[in-house]
Amino acid sequence: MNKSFRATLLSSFIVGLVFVTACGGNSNESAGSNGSAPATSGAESGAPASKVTISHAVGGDSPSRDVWMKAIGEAVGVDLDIQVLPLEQMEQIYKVKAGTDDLPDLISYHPGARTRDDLQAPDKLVDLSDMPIVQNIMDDIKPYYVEPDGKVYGVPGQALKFGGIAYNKKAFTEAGVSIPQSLDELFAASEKLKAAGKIPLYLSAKDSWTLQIPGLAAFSYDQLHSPGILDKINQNEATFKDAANFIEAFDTMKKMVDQGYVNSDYLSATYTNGLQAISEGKAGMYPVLTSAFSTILDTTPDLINDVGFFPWPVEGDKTVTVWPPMIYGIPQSSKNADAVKKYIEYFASSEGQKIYFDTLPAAGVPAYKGVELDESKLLDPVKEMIEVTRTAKQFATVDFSVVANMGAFGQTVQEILMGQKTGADLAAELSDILAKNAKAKGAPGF
Amino acid sequence: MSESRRGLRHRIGEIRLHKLERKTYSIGFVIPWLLIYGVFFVLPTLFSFYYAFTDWDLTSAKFSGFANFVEMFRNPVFSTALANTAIFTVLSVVLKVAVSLALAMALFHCVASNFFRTIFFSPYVLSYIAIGVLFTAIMHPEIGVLNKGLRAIGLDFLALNWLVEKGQVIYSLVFIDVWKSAGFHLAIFIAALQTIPSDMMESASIDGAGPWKKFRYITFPMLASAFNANIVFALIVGLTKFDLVFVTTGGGPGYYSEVLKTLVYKQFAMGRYGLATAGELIIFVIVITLTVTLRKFLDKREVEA
Repeated sequence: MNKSFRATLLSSFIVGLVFVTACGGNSNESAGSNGSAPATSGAESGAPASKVTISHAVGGDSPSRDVWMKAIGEAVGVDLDIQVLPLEQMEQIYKVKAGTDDLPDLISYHPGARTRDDLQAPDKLVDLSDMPIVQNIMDDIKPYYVEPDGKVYGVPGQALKFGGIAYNKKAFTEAGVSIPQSLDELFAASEKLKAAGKIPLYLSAKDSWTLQIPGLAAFSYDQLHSPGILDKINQNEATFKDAANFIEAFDTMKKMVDQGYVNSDYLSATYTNGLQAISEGKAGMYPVLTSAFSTILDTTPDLINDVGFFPWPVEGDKTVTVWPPMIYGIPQSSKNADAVKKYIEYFASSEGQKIYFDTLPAAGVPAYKGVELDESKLLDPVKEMIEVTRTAKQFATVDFSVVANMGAFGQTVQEILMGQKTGADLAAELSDILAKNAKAKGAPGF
Repeated sequence: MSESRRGLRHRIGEIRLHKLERKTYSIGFVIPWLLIYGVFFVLPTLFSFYYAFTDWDLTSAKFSGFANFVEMFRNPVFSTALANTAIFTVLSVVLKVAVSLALAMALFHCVASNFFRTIFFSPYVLSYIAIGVLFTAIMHPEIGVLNKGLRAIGLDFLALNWLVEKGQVIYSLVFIDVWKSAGFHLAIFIAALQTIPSDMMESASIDGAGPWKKFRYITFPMLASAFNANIVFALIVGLTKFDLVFVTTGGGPGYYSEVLKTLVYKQFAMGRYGLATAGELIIFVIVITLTVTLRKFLDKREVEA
């Protein structure tokens, strides 16, 4: 009896200990992740000016990001505690953090509807509309940051990036081709590149997300040719089946495979293989987001000026699909909101943007007006990106703009390339998925 | 008389020891683990029965009846995933048991048995992530070691598109899984082999039984419980396989290696938490039904044996 009582007592003690250490760990962690200044400043109450630590969580590792973020932190007098999340799980982790009021002081997430819905912005995020920098956001992308009711839950926290085709200039010169202006010219250029011993179009289906880029890049032509198509899709009055350019892009990829213009190991090739092939000139063209240039600069800096960029080629007036930059936002639960606001304000200022673009020269095009980049220092692909923004009308990528999540569809593109499905099948499938997800979400019209 | 008294004392001693043992370990020690198990496993599982019938976005859950289940069954990829899961499970169970039994028999009397056991067990301690990355490189159709090796020895016709050919990919995944887990099942078989009394084998030999008869009438029936454990383990692992498929092929090319777990994960990634929970519940029911049925069958066979 006595022994069993002691054993029960011991068990209760262990349980208690587990809970205490768990809670203790938690509060320590939240001191780190929420950067709770009171915990730190409480310990150092004697110190006159203890630095605030801002917590931040961001997807994917990047040594250069740590450099410029810390430099901006130093300029405004804050420390940064950067938590690196696995890229492919970043969205899930952010959604759960939002659901459990555990967001870091400075958040970085997809803009527009994604922030509003995934992170329940109206309930969870601070309205930043009183910040003067909101007026400086580039007009083309402003709708992704300023809500219809005027509230602002996040401002651009990166440069603009585009979806289109990276090409190797040396390969183009060798094969005697110039930038294609239409799909016919794309095939003609591919024939010449093949004759010159190059892989005309590199595809990396092992990382199936890369297969989505041509269609998403081509959808901006649907927006140009059928004004209002996106609004109609969002009101269930049109579907992806009406997006002719979107469908044609995937059928074009299949034709390229059939005509032997694509690397033979395209089903096993990865994004890393693709970047290597395009920077080394083994391949002539590779559909990418322009963030690829930063990676090329990190891995093979001496080859960065061998690559260039052009939008998905469709005859007539040109458009380019822009991926609006990830937001910087502040959760209502943050205890360091003022310090974070200062940080964001400095980031968006000319000085902050200078630090950003000096550290990341291949990042892309500034998302804020009035930021002057030093023309003499610009890398070739960035020059071409800037040129594209001057000549082509910009539309934001459709997967950020639709009423509900349309899911990842790279696997279906794999099926198209293997001859099991067509671009039209994909459009029908996506329309069905979007309708179901919109209905589950309670979107009007579905 | 004195002998019976000694025997009595011995028995009393045994009873005392028995009581002492029972008093030493209190049921109270179970409490922490029961709590952790309850809070982190039982409760979420019970909650999932509710969430599977809702449209759930982590903050609010709207009741939607059987809509999630209907949507899951109507998903065009569901039947492919179900078929792939079935192929994967059946093949991996049969191969894991057959390969590990053959290895166990070979290694039981082998000279450097411990060394080889370690060798065969070592893939089991590797993570599926590492194995996925490793085999993606090994099985690359053009630059992979496997095909390069096959071509080098003139077996070009065997240099297949292991992970990217629609008809082969699921079998390649089965192969990888069997390679990884055979050592684990081997350990169970060897442990069971060691429990077979050697006098039984000796008397069988004296009676003139050859190796096959000894295996058929002694070893095989004595291994029944190890068989059951291995089959049930392999069945549950096969039905719930996720990591290997996700890392190695992601369900591709197309959906030719999609299994139930990866399909459910994709619904979760789209933010359809209710739908994903319904998918998990479907898998749960399949696993429970098959495991219980199989166990009943195997237990019956074990008794008969």
